[in-house]
Amino acid sequence: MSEALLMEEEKEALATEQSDEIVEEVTEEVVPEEPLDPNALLEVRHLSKHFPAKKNFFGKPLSYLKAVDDVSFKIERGTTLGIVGESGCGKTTLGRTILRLQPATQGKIYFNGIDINALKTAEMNALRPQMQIIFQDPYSSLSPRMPIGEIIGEAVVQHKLMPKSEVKEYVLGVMKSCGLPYHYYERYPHEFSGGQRQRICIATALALKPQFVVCDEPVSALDVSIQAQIINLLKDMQNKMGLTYIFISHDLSVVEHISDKVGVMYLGSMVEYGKTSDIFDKPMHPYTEALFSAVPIPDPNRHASRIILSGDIPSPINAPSGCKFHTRCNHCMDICKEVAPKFKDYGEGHMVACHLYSQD
Amino acid sequence: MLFRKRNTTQSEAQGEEVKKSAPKGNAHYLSAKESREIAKSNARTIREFEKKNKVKHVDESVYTCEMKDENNIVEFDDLHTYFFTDAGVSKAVDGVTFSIPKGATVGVVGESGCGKSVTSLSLMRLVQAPQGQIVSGAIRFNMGDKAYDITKMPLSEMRKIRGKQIAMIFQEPMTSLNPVFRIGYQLDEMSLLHKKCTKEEAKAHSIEMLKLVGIAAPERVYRCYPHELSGGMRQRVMIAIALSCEPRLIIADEPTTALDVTIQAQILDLLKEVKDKIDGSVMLITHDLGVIAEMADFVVVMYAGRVIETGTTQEIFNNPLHPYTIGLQKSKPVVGRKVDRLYNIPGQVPNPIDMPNFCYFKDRCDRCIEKCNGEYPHFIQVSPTHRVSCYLYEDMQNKEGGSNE
Repeated sequence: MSEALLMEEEKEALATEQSDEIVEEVTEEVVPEEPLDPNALLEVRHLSKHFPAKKNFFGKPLSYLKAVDDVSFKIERGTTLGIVGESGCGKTTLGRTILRLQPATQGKIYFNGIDINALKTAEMNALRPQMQIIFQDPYSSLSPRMPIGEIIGEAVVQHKLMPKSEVKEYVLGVMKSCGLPYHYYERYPHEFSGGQRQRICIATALALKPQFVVCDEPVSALDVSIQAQIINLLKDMQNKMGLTYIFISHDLSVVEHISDKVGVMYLGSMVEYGKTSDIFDKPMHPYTEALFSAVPIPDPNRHASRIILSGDIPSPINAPSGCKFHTRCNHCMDICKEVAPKFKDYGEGHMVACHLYSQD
Repeated sequence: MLFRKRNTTQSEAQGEEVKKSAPKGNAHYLSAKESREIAKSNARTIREFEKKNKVKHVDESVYTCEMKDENNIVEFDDLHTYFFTDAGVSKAVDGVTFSIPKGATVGVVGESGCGKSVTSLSLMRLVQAPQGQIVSGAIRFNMGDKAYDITKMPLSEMRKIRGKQIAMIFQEPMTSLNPVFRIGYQLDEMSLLHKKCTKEEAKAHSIEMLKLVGIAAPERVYRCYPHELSGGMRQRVMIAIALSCEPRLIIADEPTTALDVTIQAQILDLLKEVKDKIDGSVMLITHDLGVIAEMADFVVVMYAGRVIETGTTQEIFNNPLHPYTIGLQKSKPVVGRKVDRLYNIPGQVPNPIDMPNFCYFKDRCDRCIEKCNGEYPHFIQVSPTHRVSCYLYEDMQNKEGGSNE
């Protein structure tokens, strides 16, 4: 698994280098400007992120890997949006693009009403303390050469949130609120277990008093009993600091537990978006249905009728035409193979991209 | 994975408690001298074990034994597998006793580092030598007309059982397939080794196996290299390799952990199907209670190298007894069941190098009684199939129950 991750990261790093070229390549589409929702902390409109996949002799890209393809949603203040999907569906790329850790190919990201893609680097850096990220693997995201007090305090010093003399006091306070005893201050990451490392990562992100945190699979690498501790910590911190989360995970039960709204992604596109209760109780998109029915339930008496999808997820480099899901869909119609369905609202903010519902 | 964490402090995030219990310095500090002494004595012990392992010709009567129950395919009897590390002896498996009935699926659950995988590796005699050694205990394997004690077998004999009688499906299919050989070669290898057939027969058989595991274009996949296949396809190939000699027992060590939910559903379905086809038993190792509930007939719950509860799936899920089993079930959110706050088991697993002499779960248990300070609790037979190792249920014990551990 780690190898695959590494490859993915390499690919991404490679792609980021060349991303400047892509921005020039794609012509801007004219989108009718809607007014921004004042309740929304973050609003994403038609966001795309394409990585060059194949290049010709002179380095000009011939085809693109559409990791995120025309995704729109918004998050209200103090709520949690869960993003679910299989591996390779663009969940992580979406999270990183929203934070401008890699530039978007197309589309707009409004954070507190500011289009962050239009900002200059210095302006963006001033905004960074407000948006933070917690990574999946707590083993590789902490520098092995720094004691944890320094790791947590580094960004605080960098952003000059307070005079240097007060930093230590402040870091100890953050550590305490994340459940790390004060004598851990001078220890090194290798001395800790996975759960404690994840607490350190959370403390690092929260030390900057952010408004918005992207949690990229924060509990996937942890054991069940430790998972519960971390999820509870994340929820406590949300209540205490009024945080807004994007919670990216492939574990549907965790997402259901923590999210207010859920977005389901498939091959770079969002296929369904809505309130958690709506999506889990009456999923509309065939993919969501199949995904939810595939989750094993820890109850030997309940054998849910399972919808088994045939085949694997297609390659995102030449994604299927029309609806991307039509190759595996049980309700596939002729129109699905040709026309991509529109992402439409079917009542109370429950949005689906599927032809099954657009006909009537 | 177990023994590297010498420096980790025992309990996590318990605020005041931590300050009291752990000294300010490193609780598990070893001086260079101490470490050298440990290494020396380890080297001596390991040499003895290795000498025993290297004996080539062992008379069959030495390792022939009798099964306690003829209907079992495997019986683990008080198995101890230790790792002799420079930081001390890590008791990865510390007295495991359970059996796998013929034709049944036994699920082994537990957190990482609780000895699930080491138990299965001991059964295959694949424990990382020389530091990892089966110290004592017996693993009785039913060969049909006779039974062998796997712990006493010479490795040359063991090689005939591995793959043919007991096959293993590993967690990460990419690392367990050889990247420089084609799928076909790796599949043929099994039949050529164990069946003494010609290459053509082997190929025909391999393609048949690929068809059996639901691969649509077996001829094409036969010529592929592992990197050309997706994760789900690779796992199918692994299952095909495992099944190609029709083993009596399949050990599936986290077969779906590295896969997506939709692919996981496919693979679990396939496992169920092929198990019935070859009429074998399955030992399913996983940390996912959902997978266990779906697949297993019997469940074994492990914690810190010991079995703490065994029973049928119905018993374990409807009437869990050990506080750890209960906590484990409550701490996992379930789709369709809403809770405000997840239950969390406080603290973490004790260090495997210096285990306490009382119940290993005592420090994390919220239903601890005075008796828990005593020695490690024995098994208490609650029903003919349900056993639990906890003092809370002593009065529920049947007359004949309570095996000594």
